[in-house]
Amino acid sequence: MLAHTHVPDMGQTQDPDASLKAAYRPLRVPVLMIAAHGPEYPIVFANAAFLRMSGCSGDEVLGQSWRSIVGEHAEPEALAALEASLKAGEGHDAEFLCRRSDGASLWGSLSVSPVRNEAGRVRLFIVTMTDIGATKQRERLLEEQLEQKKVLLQEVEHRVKNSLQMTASLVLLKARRLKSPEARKVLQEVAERVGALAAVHRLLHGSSDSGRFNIRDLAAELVGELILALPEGQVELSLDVQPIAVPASKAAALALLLNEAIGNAVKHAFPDGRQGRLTITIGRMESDLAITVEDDGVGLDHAPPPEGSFGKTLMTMLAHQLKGRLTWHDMEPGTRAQVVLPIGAEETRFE
Amino acid sequence: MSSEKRLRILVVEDEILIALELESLLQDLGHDVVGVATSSAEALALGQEVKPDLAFVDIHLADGPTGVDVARQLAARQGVTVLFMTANAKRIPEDFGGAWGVIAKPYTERGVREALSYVMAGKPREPQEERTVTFLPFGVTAREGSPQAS
Repeated sequence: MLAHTHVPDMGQTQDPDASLKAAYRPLRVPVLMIAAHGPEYPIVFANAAFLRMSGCSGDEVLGQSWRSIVGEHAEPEALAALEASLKAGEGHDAEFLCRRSDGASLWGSLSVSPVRNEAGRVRLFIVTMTDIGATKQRERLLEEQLEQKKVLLQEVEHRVKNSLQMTASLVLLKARRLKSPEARKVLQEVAERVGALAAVHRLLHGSSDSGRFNIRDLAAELVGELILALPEGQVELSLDVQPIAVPASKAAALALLLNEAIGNAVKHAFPDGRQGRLTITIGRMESDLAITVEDDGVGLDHAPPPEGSFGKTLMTMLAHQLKGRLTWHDMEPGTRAQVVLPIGAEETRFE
Repeated sequence: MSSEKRLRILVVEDEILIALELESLLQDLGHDVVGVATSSAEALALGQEVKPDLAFVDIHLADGPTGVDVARQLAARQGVTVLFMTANAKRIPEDFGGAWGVIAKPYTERGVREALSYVMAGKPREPQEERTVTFLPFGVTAREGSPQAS
């Protein structure tokens, strides 16, 4: 074997590394020394701890290429990276599936350090090895458990969405069977509110970060649905919504609040085919989040129907829950509803 | 295909409340629901029997997560246009199982309307700026070899 020609003949010349080897021999950490001779980089020293770990005798190890310590299942990329470090005379840390003489394998963490001579040339490499089998097993166990939890979480998400779907279906089915248009309308509004909550779940579970959601997506979703109540072309819609991240804990209340604010304008501002414009603006106002829904419809004084007042009560309660301020302005013509919510700067950054 | 056409639709859904409400909604939108199936066997048998133009297929059916297979067979063997309707879109395979798109549950009226107009147009439209998250068309490449509703 070509490699053997590079191994210093210890019988004839004095080994310059004798004292180094003497120091490593009794260590409890497995240690190897590798000659700085490519392409084989032969093993020139192995301490007793290494031989114990590998199950080999000294004769089986010495003179073999460094590759003999890793098993056949070692990743080629990891091997190539270590070899490149040897070639460049640099230190290297890597984890390998190593081979024992009895055919068993073990996970070893290798740390390679170059040793230089007086001229600065790399003379040899010292390799320390740690058995990380137990750590790897724990890692595998944790990965399996994580995978199980992910499956469970998906199942829960699925059930939440299915239950909301069934709730909405139940209410709508009943609504379809009612004779009274008033009663039907009430149930349809309940289904609409369930729908607003459902939109939150669709958006939260669709995003990669289920701790936050983008208020622009939520607003677009709710407006798209609510505007269906008006004939196409009757009301010009203007949406100016910044992509702001809102914590998931506020999602449900915000969705209901938006649903009421927009729904109120859609249902009451443009009666009898009245043409007009609906403007929805959501953006930062200093450290707050400002939501404005403005219409140029019939205005505040045109007595909203009784069930409309429940919508307004709901808005007041939700704004209170979100620690926000809700204000109504008569725009003559039209109405402007504004909610200003304190949402910290760190919560609203959206990448 | 004219947008005025009444589609003959098969609903494959194991939750009967959802199936019934969807049936009412589809009827309100001017289409005929020609069958409701709750399991894969029922869906395939009904597909043969009533020859629908379009099928709404949930992924979880009474006999398990068999909706993808149902979609594949309805599309490939029976020439039915398939739309998934599911709360578990992550289960949809990469080749979309021959389906044209997915309506996310809980669905909205708009999601169903958009899906129907997508199918009736017979060709994919340009993605819209404010596209609904309740209906996601799969695009033309996914549908090669899958039949059109006609």
